[in-house]
Amino acid sequence: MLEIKEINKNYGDKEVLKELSLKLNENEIYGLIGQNGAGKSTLMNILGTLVNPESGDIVLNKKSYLSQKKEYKKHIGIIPQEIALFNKLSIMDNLLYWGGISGIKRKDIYKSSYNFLKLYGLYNRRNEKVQTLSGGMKRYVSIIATMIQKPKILLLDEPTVGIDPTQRKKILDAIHKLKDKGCSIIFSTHYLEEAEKICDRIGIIIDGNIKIEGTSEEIKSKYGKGEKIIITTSDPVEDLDFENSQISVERNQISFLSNDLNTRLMSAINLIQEKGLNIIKIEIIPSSLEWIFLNRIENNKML
Amino acid sequence: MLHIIIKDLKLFINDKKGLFMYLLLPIALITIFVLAYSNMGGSYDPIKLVIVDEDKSYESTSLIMKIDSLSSLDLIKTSRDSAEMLVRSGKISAALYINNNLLDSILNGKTAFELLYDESNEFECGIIKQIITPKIHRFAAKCKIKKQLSDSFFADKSTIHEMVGKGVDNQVQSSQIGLTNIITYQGISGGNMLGQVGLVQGIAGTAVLMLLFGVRSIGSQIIEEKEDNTFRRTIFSTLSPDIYLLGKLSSSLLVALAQISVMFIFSAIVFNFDLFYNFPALILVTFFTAFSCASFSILIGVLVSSRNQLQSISTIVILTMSAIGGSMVPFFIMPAIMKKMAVASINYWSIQGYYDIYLRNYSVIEIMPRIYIMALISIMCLTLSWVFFKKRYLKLLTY
Repeated sequence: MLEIKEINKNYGDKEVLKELSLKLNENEIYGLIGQNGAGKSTLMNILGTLVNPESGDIVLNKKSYLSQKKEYKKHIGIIPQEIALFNKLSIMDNLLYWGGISGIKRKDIYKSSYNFLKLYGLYNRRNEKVQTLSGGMKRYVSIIATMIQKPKILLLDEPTVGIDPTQRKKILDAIHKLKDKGCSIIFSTHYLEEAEKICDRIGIIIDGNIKIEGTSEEIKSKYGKGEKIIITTSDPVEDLDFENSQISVERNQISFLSNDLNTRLMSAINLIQEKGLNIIKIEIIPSSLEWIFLNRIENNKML
Repeated sequence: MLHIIIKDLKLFINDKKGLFMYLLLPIALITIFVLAYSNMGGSYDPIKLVIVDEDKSYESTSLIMKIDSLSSLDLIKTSRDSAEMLVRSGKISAALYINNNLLDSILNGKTAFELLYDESNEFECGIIKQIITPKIHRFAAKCKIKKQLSDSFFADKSTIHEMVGKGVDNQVQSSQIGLTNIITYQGISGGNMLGQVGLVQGIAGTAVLMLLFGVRSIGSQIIEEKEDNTFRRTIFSTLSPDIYLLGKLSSSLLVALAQISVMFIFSAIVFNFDLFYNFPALILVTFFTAFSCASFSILIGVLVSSRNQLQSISTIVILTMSAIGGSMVPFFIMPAIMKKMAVASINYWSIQGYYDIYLRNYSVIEIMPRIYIMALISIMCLTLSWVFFKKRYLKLLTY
């Protein structure tokens, strides 16, 4: 449906995106993960036609966006990271503005707004000013403001930043409902458990390119075989050198990833006991994307 | 308590923008008002007075020489028609006509002089009247005394001249009785607005000043939308940046037109300000005043980079423009240097436009030069806005 072909983008001397390619299938949620400065937002800006790439192309339904930018924009909706709404206007006035500037007819805006407002439980508050809403509710309005434009492709740029866990869950559910309504979604996030939960495929941007791509399971089986082991000790742990592998030590908690549970766990227990520490608890958790990201990607162990 | 004082002063000093406003604004305003109300900004230029000598006699020539010797007046000799045109156009404040048969008119107590003056330039006209009226009365009295002496003594005129020069001055004062009719004053201004310079000045001056402050809020929305990211989101839509800027200009213009309409309607109800005196001209001047203020607000909105900056810079620029442009200090009492500076403000062209309608009785065609200049100011503001908007466009959109 949407194909990004070998895009390059520089800011001054800095190469932000290097020959980045990506393919978004129809009715798919694609998670975009990367460290700060990896190039996620630049890619989102390029997809939103705010920034032009140095080279490369974006192809939507087999047509280059360069030749049909205005037409392309009609199919793209973006839900920005910031809650970009007019706080002093009512929810409905905001929706009329955002729909209006996208060329949607007034009666159509009302119709689809009412549907979405009912879906997110905001219908009765439609005439209230946005500034009176909670952060989560504002995020819903932001989503509705984009959804009333009926985009085929949705770009979500870290939509759950600064939202409490309860609201985050609701927003993720809301995003999933958008997929059910026929949208293809590119979902950029810092929260890896979110990506794991709702994305059909995940791409991890490293140094301006997607180095890892696949379903959550594919990535985990390739890069994160094994389990995450968390050992809690009676006293804080200091200087633990454990078979040259990356471990995370936080006060009296030691955690590491293991492909060979029995051997590694036994070695760890022996090492801890040699240090004269008592083990209080051992947890064995199947590996997650977050673990892979933190322990492999951020430490360049994968490359 | 000392800690509180020190902390408060530190906070005050650290607020650079606040400090800037605290110090610079009063300094700017003091400078402008001192320049306006005193001669510190340079002396007043001699006031131009048009003289039309239709008598061309020995007496009229000698009077013109006496008036010409005054350093406060700069005489321009011309014909009656062109003199009237100069005053009507507002280029010259007053014209003095010396009628035919000057001496006979003086001796018979008939009108010998006519002073045609531009009512919209009340200040200069007042000065001219104060300077030339006593001169004319003195001259007329001397003429009368000469005639009386001549008749009484049948002496030759050269001897009489000498006598008059040495000893008759003291009698002049008493001889002025009966000379009050020899000079007439005719103000050129809109018929029923005669003598309402204050009203026109008050309404037009305040209207433009408040308009500039009023439309500032639309300019500030550009910054607000940049800061709260609604601008980015707007540009994400199919809307082009050109349309965005045009939309801002249109809303600013509508706000300006609404505000100025309310001010004028209020003035009409409360102060009997005649809105229909020359309605098409009023509409034209008002529209272009609003348009130039709206364009100015867009320029300010695009130029500044934060809300605080907008508050401080726009306040200084608007107050300065209003002070030099005639909103705070009437243009006609300004010294020469400030009159030259005034043309750099929107206020000046707008207020002069209203003067043209109400005090100079101009037709729509005659006010067009002012309209062209206001249109030019608007185009300049919009061109600059577009250039800066383009320049900062990518900057506003990238993270």
